[in-house]
Amino acid sequence: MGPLTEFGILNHEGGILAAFIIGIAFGFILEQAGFSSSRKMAGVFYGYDFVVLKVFFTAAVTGAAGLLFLNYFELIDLSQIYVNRFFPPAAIAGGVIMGLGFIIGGFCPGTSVCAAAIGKIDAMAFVGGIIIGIIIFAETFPLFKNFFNMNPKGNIKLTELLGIKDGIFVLFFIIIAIVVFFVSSKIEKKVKKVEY
Amino acid sequence: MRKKYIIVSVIAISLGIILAILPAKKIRTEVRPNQMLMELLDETRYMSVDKVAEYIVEQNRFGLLIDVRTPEEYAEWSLPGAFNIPFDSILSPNYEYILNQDIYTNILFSNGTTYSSQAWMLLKRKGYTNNYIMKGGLNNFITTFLTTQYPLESESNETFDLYQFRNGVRQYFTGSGEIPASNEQEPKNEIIIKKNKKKEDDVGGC
Repeated sequence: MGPLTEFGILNHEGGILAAFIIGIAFGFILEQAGFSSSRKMAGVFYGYDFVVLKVFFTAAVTGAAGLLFLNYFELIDLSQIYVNRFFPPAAIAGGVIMGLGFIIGGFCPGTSVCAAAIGKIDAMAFVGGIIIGIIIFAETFPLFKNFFNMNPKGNIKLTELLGIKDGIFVLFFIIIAIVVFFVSSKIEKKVKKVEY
Repeated sequence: MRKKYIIVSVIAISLGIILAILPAKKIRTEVRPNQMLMELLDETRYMSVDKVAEYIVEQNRFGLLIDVRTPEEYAEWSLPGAFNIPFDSILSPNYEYILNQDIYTNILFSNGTTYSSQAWMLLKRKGYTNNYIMKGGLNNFITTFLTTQYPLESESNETFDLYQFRNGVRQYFTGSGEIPASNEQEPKNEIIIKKNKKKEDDVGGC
């Protein structure tokens, strides 16, 4: 049955429309969960609020387990799901830059757009910074091209890289998530509350 | 810890254990029958001999000629620059990097169209795109470019243009009017294809 676009149930335009609707729903839920607050977002780095960690871990666990069950019941063909190409050096560099931007600005790209949409000026500045960064990156790409394409691993999943079964990986991931939830709750109780 | 968190954790771990125990699901990579039927009804899988000749004459490096006949037949004669992937080896993993990519246009051919069509169907069922069949095969190729007749005066300009083109192709191959007896151009064995199984989708983050 799925992915809908790969099996011709949704055409290209239908896929874009579906993405638009899901995007609105995603933004709405982010805002409702308080992710439009940069203080709340940055709280994960200072130990006073781990809601970001919890929400994204929950989303990852739900998504991973859900996809595997859907695949098992033949409601989705996982082999047709697009997997990003993996370039380890570029991914590490990008992760560091993203993390720094997250700490300094208090948003990640998605939540900044969400916060800008409800009129937060800091988020608008953040989005402006993203756009300028994209333009600079695009214009100077030839300088980074070799590094960007270094050590390509292809469209590979972590389980393929590690050589383990998807289900076992998800089980470990669930256990890690529960441990992280438990530990972060303990830290939250010890760190002084921040009002925002 | 609150009781509800314990319950949720137990449920999550139970689901994880079920996923870990479940046997790995066989991944379906073949095209579904109804989609295959649609593909078979679509004539765009064929490429005319004129178009193939255009690829050869222009030395278009994005067109890969693939001879699916036996190695003996290939050694005897084939189109310039053609690869030989015998029909019985078409599903060999050694050739997957050529047949399963979306950079080059693969043109399959045999003497007629029987073997090339069968090869195309196998590749289509595997979900490989970018593979085409030279319509009429080598027999049609030779016939078309060796027996081109000068058009009647009453024929349209398009017919004259086609005659000029075919005559030019014949000159390109032979300089006289005969198809050469062996490969004059080395097969492009050293092509480098970056494997790209799935089309590039927009990707996003948080």
